[in-house]
Amino acid sequence: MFRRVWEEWKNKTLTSRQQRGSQTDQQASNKSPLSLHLQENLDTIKQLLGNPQDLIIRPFLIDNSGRACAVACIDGLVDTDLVHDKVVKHIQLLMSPAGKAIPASDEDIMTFMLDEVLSIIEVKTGSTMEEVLDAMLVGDTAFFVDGSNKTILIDSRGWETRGIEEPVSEGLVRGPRDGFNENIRDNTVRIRRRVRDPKLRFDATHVGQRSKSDLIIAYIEDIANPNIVGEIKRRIATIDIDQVEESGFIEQWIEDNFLSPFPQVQYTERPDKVASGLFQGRVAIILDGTPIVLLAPVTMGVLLHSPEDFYERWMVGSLARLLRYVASFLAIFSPALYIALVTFHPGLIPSDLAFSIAATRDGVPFPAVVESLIMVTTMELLQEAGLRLPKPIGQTVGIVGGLVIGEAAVSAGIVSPVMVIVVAITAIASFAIPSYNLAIAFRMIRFGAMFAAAMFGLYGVVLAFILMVTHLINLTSIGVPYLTPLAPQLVSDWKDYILRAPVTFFKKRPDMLQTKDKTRMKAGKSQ
Amino acid sequence: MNTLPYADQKIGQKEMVFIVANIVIGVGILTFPRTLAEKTGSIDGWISVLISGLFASVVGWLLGKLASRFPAHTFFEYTSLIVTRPVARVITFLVGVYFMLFVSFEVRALGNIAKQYLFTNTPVEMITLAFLLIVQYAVAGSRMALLRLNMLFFPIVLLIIFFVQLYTVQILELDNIRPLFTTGLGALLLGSKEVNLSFSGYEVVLFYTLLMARAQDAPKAVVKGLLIPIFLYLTIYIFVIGVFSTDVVKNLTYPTIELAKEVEVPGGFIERMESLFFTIWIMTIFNSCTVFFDLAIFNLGSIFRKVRKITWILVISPLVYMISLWPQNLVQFFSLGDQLVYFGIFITYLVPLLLLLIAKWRGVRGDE
Amino acid sequence: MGMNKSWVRLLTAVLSVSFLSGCWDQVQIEERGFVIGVGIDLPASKETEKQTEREAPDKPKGKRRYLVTHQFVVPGGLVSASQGGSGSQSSTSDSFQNLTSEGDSLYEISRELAVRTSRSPFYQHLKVVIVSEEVARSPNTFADVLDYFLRDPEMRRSSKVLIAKGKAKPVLEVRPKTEKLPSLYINSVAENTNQNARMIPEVPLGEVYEDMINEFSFVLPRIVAANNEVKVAGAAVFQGQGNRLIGFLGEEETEGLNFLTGNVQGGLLKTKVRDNLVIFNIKGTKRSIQTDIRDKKHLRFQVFIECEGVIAESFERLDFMEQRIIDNLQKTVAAEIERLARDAIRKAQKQMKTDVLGLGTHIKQTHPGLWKQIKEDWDHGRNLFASSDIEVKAVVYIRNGGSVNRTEIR
Repeated sequence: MFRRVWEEWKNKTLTSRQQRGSQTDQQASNKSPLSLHLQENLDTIKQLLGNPQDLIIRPFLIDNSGRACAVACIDGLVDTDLVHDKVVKHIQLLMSPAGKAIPASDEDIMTFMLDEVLSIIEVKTGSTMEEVLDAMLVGDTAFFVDGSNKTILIDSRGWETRGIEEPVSEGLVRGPRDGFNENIRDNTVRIRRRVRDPKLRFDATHVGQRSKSDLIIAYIEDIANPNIVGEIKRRIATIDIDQVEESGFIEQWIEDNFLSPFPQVQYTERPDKVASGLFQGRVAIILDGTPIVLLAPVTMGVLLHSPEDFYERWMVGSLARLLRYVASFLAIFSPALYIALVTFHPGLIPSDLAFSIAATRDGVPFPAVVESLIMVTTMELLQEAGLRLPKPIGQTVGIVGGLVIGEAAVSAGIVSPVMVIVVAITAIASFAIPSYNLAIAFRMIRFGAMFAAAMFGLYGVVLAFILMVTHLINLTSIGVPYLTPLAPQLVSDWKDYILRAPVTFFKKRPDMLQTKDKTRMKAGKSQ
Repeated sequence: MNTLPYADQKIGQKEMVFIVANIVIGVGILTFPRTLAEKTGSIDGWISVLISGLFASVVGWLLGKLASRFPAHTFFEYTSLIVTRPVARVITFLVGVYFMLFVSFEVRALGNIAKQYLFTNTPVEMITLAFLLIVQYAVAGSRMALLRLNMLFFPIVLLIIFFVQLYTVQILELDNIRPLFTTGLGALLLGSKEVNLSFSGYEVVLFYTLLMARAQDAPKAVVKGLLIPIFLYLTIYIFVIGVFSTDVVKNLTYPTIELAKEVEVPGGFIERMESLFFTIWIMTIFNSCTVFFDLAIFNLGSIFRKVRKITWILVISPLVYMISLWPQNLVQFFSLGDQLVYFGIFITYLVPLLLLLIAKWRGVRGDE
Repeated sequence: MGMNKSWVRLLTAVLSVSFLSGCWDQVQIEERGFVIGVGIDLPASKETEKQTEREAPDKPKGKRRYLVTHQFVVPGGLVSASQGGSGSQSSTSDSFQNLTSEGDSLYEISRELAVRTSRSPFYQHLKVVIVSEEVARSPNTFADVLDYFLRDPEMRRSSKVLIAKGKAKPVLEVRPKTEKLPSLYINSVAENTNQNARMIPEVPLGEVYEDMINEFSFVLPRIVAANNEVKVAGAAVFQGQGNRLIGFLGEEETEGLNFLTGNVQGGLLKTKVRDNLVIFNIKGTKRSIQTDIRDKKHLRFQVFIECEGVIAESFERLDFMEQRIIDNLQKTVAAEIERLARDAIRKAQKQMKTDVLGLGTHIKQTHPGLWKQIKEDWDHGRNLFASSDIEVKAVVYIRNGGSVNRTEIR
């Protein structure tokens, strides 16, 4: 019933937002044309941008003709060497090539500049002040000539970017070392280098009313299911916020159910992960300014996979996966099971162990629930604190947490040693989950399971499990059921689910994404 | 909302098989060895299981036939076609009520067993309330998801039964199983009547055939689905008798759980398996409950079209809850169960079989 | 948004459930009194009974009163003993505590203990139930005292039941050197069936229940306590009618019984060859029965016992590589088995007139029709068992003579 309310609400807001979107389009069409006078144009620019310190306006004369012209750009966003070498220098020292005279008319001089003088690949002309400003703000240089109401916008983007580094959040033992960075162009390059397929599509758009961030929807046209691509595009088109800092905004805007603790879009900073996603028929969403690329749709299984499963041999990969499923269970349920067993069903624990747990808990003032809450919360605090601190201090936090809290809490009689073991297992298990956002979801559910266990013991734990599965089975990611291929059952996809079959077995693409091109191997085509 | 065709696809034969199997097993498996041992007094009860299994398969097949005659109609719609609309309204309403009562029964069964094996002080009201709330949540979701849950939990449940049998096979005493073939036919038939009560549930085919991709598979699916419980009942009965002997089984309230109690995992990794067994068993009960709840809404909803699903859930849940708390003790509870099953036999087996006859006679058939 | 409101209401309900319920069944593990052993005796004096009568003359009263000893684990004691007093308690503390209480209902006694100890009894780790001879000998009392243990779902079916020769309480009071908890000590001693043929296989509570419900007579292991030790040897014979203790089989007779029922998994047999002992180590036995039912009054049984094993010790320097010697030895060992079995039969059939040999079960399985006729007259009533004819035939296979043949040349 929840879902229904949410959908109604979402539909309502979406339509109203779309209406609003079309209004802004109409407003945008009233644009101010450029003036014929150079100085006037330059003044307008200064005025509109508030004459900032990083605005460079360089008026000069065209060689031989004495005609006034100017370039305008924003310092830091442009490659100044390029503007100097290929624009200002060329025009100032203009030798009429092949004896051609420099045209005198206002129209012709622009064409002449474009065709003969400016030796730069990416140039375009503009005629309105809005175009000029938009271009300048992304790093283009605007070239004006006195007497023309056109401008040439030269692509001179060149700013300092972070180099290509190893992805911090997703380390691998075996696999490529490069990661995405904050520059969208670098990122598309990383993808193109891996997907040399003419059908690779980079559909560009802007998001954010004010920030106007570049966004690219990448997919392989003859693989990805058009319904999925269309749905993602539709949802992105509804985005209506003024500023998009990070792809997290996109994720939260396009996800199916905002009340679910589970991530419905995958994120990564590994180009190899994106490339393999594209080949499976998924869609990547790349936002300028962040190294985090989104992949959708996603299922629970995919979030528990790591690229290494494929880079290592299939047995290693399968076992690693199996281990991760066990880890997921432990990460969610081990404190809950501890509570249930210790306070409700000590009969299930082998006698000797039961007696020794009872002995170690002798003198612990809190009930097992409170004890677990204390320890689990402490662990969360440690994790959060270690995350925010610079690396060298982060290690200190680890030492303080591990030694002081663990050891001291036990000897102070606040918690029992068994509890420390349980918390340690929980923490280690949740670190073994390859997707950080899924691990966070598990951490949240862990508390729910603990409360259920505190109320009803094992019965509560099972109810929590059932509730979780019921939720998951109703959950979708861009319309793809979250538990595919388990439910709905797509047996052919089980090769790459809990276990990972040898690579030679993957004759077809996963059925769950209903790709257009279903085969991966030539051998598969004959079938 | 779904972008891909399979996400909302109709269920196949495999799904139907699992749903039938899962629903039939339910709570009956926990108690039937007692009543069967009482009636037959020996290991020969397995013949009764076979007899009643065969009977259930025949009835199930006929019900499947009826439903597959009308592949695109709800129960109410095709009943209206066969007999008139007002009659159909009465029948469908009774069917809805039956399923509602059945949810109450299952919820209470869960409460009773949980109270006996897992809790001592927690009131049964709370145990059932917590469970019912989750059932509500599941029913509020999509019907397809609910049916898929069956597919998901069923293997887990099979696994735990297999596990229990694996570890009790070593304490199986052949002395208890012999002598074979000492029970008269009369006692066997009486016994099969008892087991029949535990086989109820396959009537779901009457209602879910609508969702099947190939409705003509429905009769086959029911029979296949019944094979699993027949096999399980057979083995469970043999195991229970083999481990405890007939006279003991007669005196055990929940023989199957007591069987789990006998399991000793080597290495003493975990003790008292029966708590674990029952805990996992909750998943089966959950599945039957959600399906029955869904069917109650499905049927009542098909009569009163204007009422929304969510309203039904909110109206039925308190009723289910109150009825489930009605029986004061175990004896009353079991007799409620028996009466309920007789009502069910009338309304979901006899009446539909009659409908099938009339439909044949009048030549009514749904459009493909 | 009416929908939202109903949700809010539901949520409130859920939350209040979770906060109200809190702790019905929550008992912290250290607050549980783990009962690991129970001993049941009859009270020595009538004093408490009289006192109760004075206090509440109209209170419903049972036929019999029991003196029940509960053995509780003291977890702190377990740890401090092993870790050398790191706990807060004094390191000399005991690892167990025996509490004895009197009453006419076992449940009543169990609840009464809650008044006397800070930890309420928790039976899920109950290992042994020891019933005294006195209790077991009184008609129907044995079933009475076990009723509570069977009825309460909290109990486990695997707790072992043993019959104490004499009182049960002293058995729980032994202080063995190897184990800290007497009940666990008894529990593991009772499992040593594959080492010794003189104890009968452990009988868990669940099986005792089967025995009591079934019409057949049965045996339970006997336990004797002395000098901070227990000895689990011999068997207590229960008559199936009334489940009453008839008497005990001695150690030798128990061995014979084990051969007759095919329950020997290990143990030894002593034989004499030319005045010197040769010890045979049993590795396994098999038993089969043939019946002759022509004469109902004199049923004839032939029990075949097949036994295999190795030579464990030999004081006679025999050449075990020679087939003739092995053959002879096999015959001698077989004769010893037959002697043991006959002794057991004599005691069970002639003295106790109680079928613990499993012959009734055998008839029921092989001749169900006949069994129906003689059921009422088997080992009670006309006692056909006592008048039947039982023969024993043993065959022994010596598989090898050990690592060496002769230890010295004489």
